[in-house]
Amino acid sequence: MKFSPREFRSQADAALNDRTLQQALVRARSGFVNKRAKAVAALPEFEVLRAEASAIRVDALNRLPDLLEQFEAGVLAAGGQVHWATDAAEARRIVVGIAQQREACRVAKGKTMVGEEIGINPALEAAGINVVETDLGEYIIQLAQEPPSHIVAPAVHKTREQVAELFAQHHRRDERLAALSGIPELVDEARRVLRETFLSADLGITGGNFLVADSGSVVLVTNEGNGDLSATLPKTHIVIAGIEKVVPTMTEATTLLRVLARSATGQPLTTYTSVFTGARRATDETGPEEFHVVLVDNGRSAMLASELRDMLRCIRCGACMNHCPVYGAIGGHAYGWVYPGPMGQVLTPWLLGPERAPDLAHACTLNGHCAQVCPVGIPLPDLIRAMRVREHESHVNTFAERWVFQQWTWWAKRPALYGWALRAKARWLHRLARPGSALRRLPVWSAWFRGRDLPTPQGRTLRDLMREKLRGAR
Amino acid sequence: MSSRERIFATLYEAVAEPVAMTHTRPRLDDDLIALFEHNAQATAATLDHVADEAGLPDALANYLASTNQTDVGIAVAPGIADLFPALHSAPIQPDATHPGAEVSVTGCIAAVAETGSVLMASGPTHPTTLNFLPETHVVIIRTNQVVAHLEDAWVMIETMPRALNLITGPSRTADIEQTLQLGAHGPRRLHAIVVAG
Ligand code: SF4
Repeated sequence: MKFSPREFRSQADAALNDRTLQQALVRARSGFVNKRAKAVAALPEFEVLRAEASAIRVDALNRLPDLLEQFEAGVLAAGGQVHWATDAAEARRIVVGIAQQREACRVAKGKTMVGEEIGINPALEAAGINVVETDLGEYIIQLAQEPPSHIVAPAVHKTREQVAELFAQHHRRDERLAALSGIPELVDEARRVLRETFLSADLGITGGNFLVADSGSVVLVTNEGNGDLSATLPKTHIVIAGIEKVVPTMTEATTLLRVLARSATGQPLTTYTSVFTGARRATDETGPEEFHVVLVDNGRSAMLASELRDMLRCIRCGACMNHCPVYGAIGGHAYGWVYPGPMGQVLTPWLLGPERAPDLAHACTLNGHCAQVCPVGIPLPDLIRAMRVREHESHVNTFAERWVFQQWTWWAKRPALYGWALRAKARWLHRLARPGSALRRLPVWSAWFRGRDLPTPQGRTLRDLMREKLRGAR
Repeated sequence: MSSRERIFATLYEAVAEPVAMTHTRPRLDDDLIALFEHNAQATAATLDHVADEAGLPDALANYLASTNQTDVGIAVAPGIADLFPALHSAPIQPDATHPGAEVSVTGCIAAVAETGSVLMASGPTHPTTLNFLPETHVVIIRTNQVVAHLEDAWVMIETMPRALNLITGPSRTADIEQTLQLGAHGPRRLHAIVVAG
């Protein structure tokens, strides 16, 4: 299945009409929201930690080049190598280059969102290298040839029946698999198949949740243990990470860890929190012989210099999408690319260019719930609004839209006239609507009304009411 | 200009002032051992206690018998092999034809009360594979290894090894219908034997 951020509207329509997807979304939404709420309630210090986590990320971004230099020196000192990629194409070239040099045939891959962002799998496959996703969710969507629909739970849109069908198609053990329907059996089946992958892979690729500057370490969190097996068994371990991921020391990483899993899955900590520093030591019996870190810019340094800078604080917990009413209604695929939900509404237009994602910034009610739960205090609604301004300035919205805004601006700059017109309009709408019901259509506005109702105007404007109230108060 | 130089040139233009920071640790109950045990059990780990090291082989045998794991390959971390003198350790590093041990027995660097986690450091005495490949991971913890916070565990590390593994319960996934299932890729069971002293 192919999705594209340019097709947001049609994808959202399709999602709203997809029964199975709607069931999955309802289940996922309440699951994530409740688990986070419980975890937050169980930690009295959560809000303090959240403020500290925000400060840690702001501080790290403020002195990013220094921290990156320190991190690089640390990796080198521990016997690893660091590669810098300005864009996705360069990142792909670097990773494929390492794989080819090591004559790798098979890659065991842990979940990495930046890996999705740069499109590393197709690049490796084009070079004749077999790539196996080892995170269960990623594995499922790899079999289904779909992009992830959630950054924490990539296959959250799939039902167990769909997973059983995929395994039956791909694992070629028909009779036994036909009977596989329970979740434990499905997980076991994946464990069995993927264990062979781990043992035969000659290259492991993982992401990194945090880069620790003072020791040159990469912190990786997973629940399944697949990231660790990918990082430990193959001869070469490559970490792909965005340049914004760096923090000064393990102390700061610890605060972020305390808010990350609670915000993501409601766990105090994920099952595995691993810290990788360099390749295996001379006396080690296990571990990779080579350790590479590929640091990806791909628009991040430019974002840092822009008004969207705060987006780079993101620690990819997924809370913003879990609490977003729009995401909850349409799911992740409708957004058309790697990053769904509120964070994606800022990242996708930035990374791909607003003309390739013209509708994303508008799929938002500015209700602010995402910013309330974001563990690093990213003002997402402000950034989404800033993205709208950017789109307006870069002329990607339609002529009609621009015309409407120009008209509105003309009136809004003349408050007296605006107030008069508003009062006239409210009275007119009031007469038009049947009392107690909502307005369902208006001439010329049919497109706007397709997805919306307008509550019946009461005939008076907010200004009128305020004036009256103030008079009453006096 | 190299890619590195180009990235840094843009980054240096966006540099700003450092931010003043505080660092808060969650407040914890005083009884760290009880707290560790409570939190470890909350992550679906199981627990046992022995009075001294001499009791370990029996405790291990009892645990394995109680979970129907008799006649299994056991890999003991070289660092604690002398605690189980009668055990013949199975090979640690499997290959595609040899599945390796079903049970691993290791020590740890520290046990963290705050989260019920155990911290492992890779090295010749503790190969990382022991933490991930077996079906069952048995961890020997001395009560004096229990620390309060995560920060207290990190300071036990003098030089960073290749891999630090902070382990909080057995492997799990909720990737199918958000339903929690233990034993995704790593151990299905994490059993801690706490030794007094
Ligand atoms: S924007 Fe905030 S809430 Fe959303 S994924 Fe990033 S850190 Fe989490």
